[in-house]
Amino acid sequence: MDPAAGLTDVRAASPTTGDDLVTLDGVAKTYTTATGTTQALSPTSLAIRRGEFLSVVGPSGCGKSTLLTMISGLVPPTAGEVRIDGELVDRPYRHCGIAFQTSVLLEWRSVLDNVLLQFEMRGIDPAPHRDKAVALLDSLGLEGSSRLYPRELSGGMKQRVSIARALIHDPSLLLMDEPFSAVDALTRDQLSMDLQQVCMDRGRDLTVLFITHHIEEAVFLGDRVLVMTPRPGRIAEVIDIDLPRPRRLEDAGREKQAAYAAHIRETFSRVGVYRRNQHEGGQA
Amino acid sequence: MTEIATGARRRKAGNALSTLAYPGGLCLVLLALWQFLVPALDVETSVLPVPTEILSAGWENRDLIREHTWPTLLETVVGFAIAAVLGIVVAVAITAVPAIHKTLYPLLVGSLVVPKIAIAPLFVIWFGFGYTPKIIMVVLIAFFPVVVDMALGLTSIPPELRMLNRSMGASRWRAFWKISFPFALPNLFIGLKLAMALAIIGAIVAEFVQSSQGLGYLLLQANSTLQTPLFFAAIVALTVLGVVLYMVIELLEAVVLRTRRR
Ligand SMILES: Nc1ncnc2c1ncn2[C@@H]1O[C@H](COP(=O)(O)OP(=O)(O)OP(=O)(O)O)[C@@H](O)[C@H]1O
Ligand SMILES: [Mg+2]
Repeated sequence: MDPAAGLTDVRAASPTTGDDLVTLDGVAKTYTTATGTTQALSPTSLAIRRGEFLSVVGPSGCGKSTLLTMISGLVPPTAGEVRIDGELVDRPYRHCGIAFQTSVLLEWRSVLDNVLLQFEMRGIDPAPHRDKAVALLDSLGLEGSSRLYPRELSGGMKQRVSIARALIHDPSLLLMDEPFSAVDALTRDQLSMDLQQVCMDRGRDLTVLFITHHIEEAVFLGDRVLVMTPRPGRIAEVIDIDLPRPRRLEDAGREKQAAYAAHIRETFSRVGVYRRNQHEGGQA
Repeated sequence: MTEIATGARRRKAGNALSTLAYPGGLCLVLLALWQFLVPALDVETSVLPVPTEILSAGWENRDLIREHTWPTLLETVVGFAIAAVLGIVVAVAITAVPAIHKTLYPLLVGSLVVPKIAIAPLFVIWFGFGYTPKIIMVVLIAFFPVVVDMALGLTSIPPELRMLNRSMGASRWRAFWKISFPFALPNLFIGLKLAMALAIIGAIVAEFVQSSQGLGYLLLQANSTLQTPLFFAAIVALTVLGVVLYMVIELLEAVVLRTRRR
């Protein structure tokens, strides 16, 4: 019953199986700046299954954000191609929602108007969507806050608004780049649980790519966890998290979730993410 | 809830009072010193009149001062308005089109170091004796801070917000009006306040160079006829004008930015 036991053959299962929403084929990115070139991401092939929650963990600078921006079509890859629903992504993909580490709310708009911005920017009359937006805010734990302004919100509340803005237009793909990194640990726990609920409610209609530095969070939320190597990032491993939902955050430090987390740390260690301490007997 | 609100309001009122009371108190002390030290040291009125003399000179000449305030006000406000609109347009152009930025920005910086006051006499030759040369002077002086601050505001939009923008598929026009322009407003107001302060200087300088009316003209007249109390009264009028115009911009700013973080 060791959850980490069957991990090696799981990797073989990742290549395209039937119903994939996003496929990456040899996607790589090299940034060229005045000071030189940086290879941010090694050629990467990957399939994100329809309706799955894919967590991505990896050391800082390994190209996680780069991966996300290329999937969203905001930044073109230097090699390879990204396809969503079989269509080549060569411009910003419109059926996705994005949430970043910072909430980037507009200070001059109320919470509700910040969420409805999603429609206004697309040239859609937001008025018919007000009730839906309020309901979504409620489900994200923001009951009665729709008329407040961003300066009146805590960091956690702002993040909830930014998630609501990313979901209001019912995107098929939700891209999240360390959305909980700037909030305190307790709020972070609550946000993880709420996000799990929202994603469960949407079932196969919503596919999520979730970037994080937090290994336990990646395990708790992910149907699969993609583990990356240091820059230039490669996929070190893709792990199926074979745990029923709803998962309990109380179990994060226990048994199965903990075993997956330990396994990820082993992988990080193997690919050289951690610097070895001298007294551990590391080589020169 | 209401108690907290009224408490906060009282504290706010208290703050406003102390922001007025402390500098006001200092001014009163300095004025009193002035009033008593000048006679004690036997300084002549034509050199340095005491505050009460200035006050009475101002009161006696109130019609004259009012008459000369209007032209200066007109030059300042019209010049400021043109500088504001022009500044915003240029800032938008240089931030939106790299080619325009490359072409215009070095020229703008170059024009900043040209001493505009030195070329003021030329304006008289070019534009005659009316309001035109004075307004152009105001525009030239007030324009620069508007461009710089507005451009700064437009370029300091966080990259995440830009990405969000593009992922929402907005047209440039919509993105500008819904996001970029309102985002840059706090910076714009910094530029506008500076521009307003500079606009008055521009108007007075232009009037010094050539004029037959305006507070700058009145200052020169009072000075050359040794009517020093009137000279000081005109300075007071000029200061009041400047403070009022500045406060109009501050008020506008407070209304426009009311929902934002202080
Ligand atoms: N626009 C850019 N121009 C040049 N280099 C960039 C750019 N964006 C990222 N890089 C470089 O590419 C590498 C990967 O960056 P990326 O932001 O994708 O990493 P990350 O995994 O998201 O890191 P973190 O966990 O710290 O957010 C880094 O070395 C970074 O310096
Ligand atoms: Mg990143």
